[in-house]
Amino acid sequence: MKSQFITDSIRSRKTFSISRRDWLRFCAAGVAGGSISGWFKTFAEEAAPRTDRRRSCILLWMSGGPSQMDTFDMKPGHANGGTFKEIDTVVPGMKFSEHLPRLAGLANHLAIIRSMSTKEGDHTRATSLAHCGYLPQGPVQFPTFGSLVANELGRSDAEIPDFVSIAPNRAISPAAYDPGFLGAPLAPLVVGSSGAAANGMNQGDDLKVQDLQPSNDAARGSLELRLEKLRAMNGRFLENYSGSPAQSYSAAYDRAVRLMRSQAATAFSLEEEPAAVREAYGKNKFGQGCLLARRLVERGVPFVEVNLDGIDQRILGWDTHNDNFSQVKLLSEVLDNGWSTLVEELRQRGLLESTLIVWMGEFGRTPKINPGGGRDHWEKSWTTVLAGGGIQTGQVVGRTSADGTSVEDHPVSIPDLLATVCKGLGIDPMKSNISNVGRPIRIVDPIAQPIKEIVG
Amino acid sequence: MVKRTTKSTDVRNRARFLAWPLLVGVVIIGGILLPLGGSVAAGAERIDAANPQINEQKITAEELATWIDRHFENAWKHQGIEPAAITSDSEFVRRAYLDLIGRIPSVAEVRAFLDDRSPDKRRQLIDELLQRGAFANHLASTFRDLMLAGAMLQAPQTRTLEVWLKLRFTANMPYDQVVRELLTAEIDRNPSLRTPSPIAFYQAADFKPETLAANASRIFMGIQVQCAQCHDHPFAEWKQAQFWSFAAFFKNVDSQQMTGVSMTLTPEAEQITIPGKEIVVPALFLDGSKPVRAASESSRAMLARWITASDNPYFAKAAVNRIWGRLLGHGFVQPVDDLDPTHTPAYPEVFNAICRQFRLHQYDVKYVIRAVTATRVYQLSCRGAPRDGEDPLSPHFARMPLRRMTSDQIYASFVQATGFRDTTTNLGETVARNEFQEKFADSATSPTEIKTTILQALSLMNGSYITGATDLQNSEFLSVVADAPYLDAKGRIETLFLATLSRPPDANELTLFLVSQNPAEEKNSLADLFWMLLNSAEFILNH
Repeated sequence: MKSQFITDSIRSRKTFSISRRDWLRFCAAGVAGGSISGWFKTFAEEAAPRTDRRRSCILLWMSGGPSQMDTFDMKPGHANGGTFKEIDTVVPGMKFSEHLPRLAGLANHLAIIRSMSTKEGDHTRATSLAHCGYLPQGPVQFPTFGSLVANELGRSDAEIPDFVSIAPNRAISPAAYDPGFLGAPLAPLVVGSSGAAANGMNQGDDLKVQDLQPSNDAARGSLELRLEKLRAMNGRFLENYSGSPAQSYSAAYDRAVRLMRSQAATAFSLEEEPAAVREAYGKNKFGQGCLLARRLVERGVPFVEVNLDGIDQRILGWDTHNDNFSQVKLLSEVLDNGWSTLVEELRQRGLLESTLIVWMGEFGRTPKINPGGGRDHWEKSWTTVLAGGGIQTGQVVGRTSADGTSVEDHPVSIPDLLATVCKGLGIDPMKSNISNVGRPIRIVDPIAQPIKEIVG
Repeated sequence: MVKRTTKSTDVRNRARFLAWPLLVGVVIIGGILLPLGGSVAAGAERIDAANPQINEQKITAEELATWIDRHFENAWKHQGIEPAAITSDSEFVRRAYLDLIGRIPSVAEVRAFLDDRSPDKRRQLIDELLQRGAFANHLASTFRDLMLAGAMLQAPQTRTLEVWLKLRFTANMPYDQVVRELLTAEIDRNPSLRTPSPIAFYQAADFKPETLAANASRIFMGIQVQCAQCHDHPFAEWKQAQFWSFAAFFKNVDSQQMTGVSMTLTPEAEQITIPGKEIVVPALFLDGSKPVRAASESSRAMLARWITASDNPYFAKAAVNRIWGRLLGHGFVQPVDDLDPTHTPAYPEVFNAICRQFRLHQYDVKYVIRAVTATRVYQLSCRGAPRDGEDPLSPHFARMPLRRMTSDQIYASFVQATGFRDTTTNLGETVARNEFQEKFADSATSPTEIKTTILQALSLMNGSYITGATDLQNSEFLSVVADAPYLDAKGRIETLFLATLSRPPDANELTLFLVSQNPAEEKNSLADLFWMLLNSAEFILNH
């Protein structure tokens, strides 16, 4: 009954994704495009049910583009190396920046990819590429990766939406946070706001779902009665009026009401946690976001994005064109505490094995240090990190040159990375969804090669 | 497209058969006399040929509306399509207000329309709404969204463009002139947020020549060239060099220190380097032609002249497709901003005729809106679409699809229904409006594709605005309805229905909501009812 609050006609997402509308679009596009029978086969193959265990993904998004040379790909002794020292980790031969000491102790749970090599050096386009896996192509509305994963691993009867995004900076690249052709049911539930709004060191309490409960007592008292009337009213209207805006309305209200009534929504009540735990994550938005991510994963949410946008009310904090080293030091401390506490807590709860953590920004920073002591945008050779379960950790993949300016071994593109993540999550990256223009689009660009060292 | 059914073949054969002995004559199909011109090669072109004046001379909006209706009626008949019923007066008045002035009608406006016995009242309503200042306002916010192409700017930034457009639409400035002024605007990188200006168009593209080129091409011509930015276009004929040649017209916008004046006047022909390739390409239009500079004309002025030239068919098509798409839910070409030649338009004769008349009427946007909203096609109901799968009628414009209100429509309708007044302002803007706009923003280019999110639903159910508006102590409107001595219990319920859904409750609804209780409980139940109405699907959907 719960799931039938607003209307009984909400169809499951699976039915929706291959609805007749899509078929029509798909057939219409056939006039302009290739062979229909080839696509039909793809569909038939996809109808097989999944039986694998459900996993979760946490994306730690480093807005602005973090400096690889001052975190996970140190070049001590080289002119480009900067002022930080490198330290040993628990994995022999693997070294990190001195400002990531706790992560160094967990390096056996990390896989460092030092050979990211992409072509986008612009925040907006690179953010969109890294999130969607495709660059904008005509009118196709590519979904963000979180929506794609939620579509695969989510459950339409879940109490909490399948994709939660914590304090994203959507303005930099709206498309990067859009469910695209997958539609509103797969849009991220956004909590917290990025940057200038409130990002002080004591923040964290604002990572609540806005308007989850009525804002005064009278309204709270009559809520159930009101919802009852609303259901009756909508039932009458929806008998006569149908169409995707009505479905979208019903889906949103259903899930909103489910969330309001849900015990699981207490995931957002970080005040339930002991003070020492909140402290360990760091009393800042990213740290508390990591704590929230753990609480959401505990409740089965398949995709959570946590944004480290900056500290002290900055946005694009990692965009260190000036004064790189003092900025990266501060950011590293925030990162180290949030991320390592997350890994430790997931491990203690037996959840690390089923959780894949992705650490990345839209690109890296120039190896050469500019006259302002900063590093500029650099997409030719940079680093991402995967952590957690479902993958081979405790290793480094790829290598950059001594000066850091080029990849010498195993270049990895964004599609390669996303395909690797898919494999780690038990998702077939070559599965297709029907796009808004009727053309089937694979979850990850078919040029992608999953990194075999990491996912076999 | 699948829209063409096999029946059209029958029609074509029948038409040819009948036409052959007559050459120029009439065909009688379904009791309607149809003049038949010379060419009957394709059934679809037949009507066009029968009305040569539709493409040659100016006709009034009413004449165009009549022509469009007749065309659809014939086409539907030939394809065996039974269109949906005509809207009720309540449905129509709500739809017309939302589409033309961006908000639902007031209780008094609904009553006046429902009580009007004039047989021509729908057309009169359209004409009256088109005269209102609110029409130019709504048109400005519609084109603001269109011109910002889904970019997320701060509300005050977008407002400068909206006001700039409003001034022009109020004066009924021809659309080509609006676009020329926008494309040749002087650029101030630190614009005042109080001065009307089209700068947001440039801000939305981050002042980048390649983004400006892609946006200008898509928004004003429906041509999607942006993929050619990085590689040759996979589907259409655009090549990467062609894209950058087009982007070259915006090259001088990119330089950081330039002031507006110097930026609009660049003497020598532009060229641009393709990033990463070190290839320099000259400024060329998308059809490969070279710009010819009139005396001291800027490169953007040459571009604006080319885009808005009367022999550029894409300019009128892009605007007409989007206006039609806004009003009818689907464009002739879908997606509405992709007029790629491989996308066959639905009902091309109607599309072409409106485009042609749009040009003949000096790109008068109001003329097009008047003509479209005067059709019976626009008056068709949304009722009766199948609950599962695609509606077979709406792609033929034989049923109006449901449309989600835009953020502007939601805010304005909320204000209209509740009497909400926001006194908190920031930079002269009401905070509430900005909040609604941000919360309900959607990058969909088509009103049938606007999605409702969980956070939107939560804010409509629990947010402070709705809570205030449905609180007997806070809401002036609600307390007036609850206490008005001239209203009985039924009258109070009816008033709330008219205020929100633009219709009286039916008998079932009265039974459902008319609970005879003590006065205090009746008041509380009115608050509950008002909350429910404002949250209903019927409220938020344009139907």
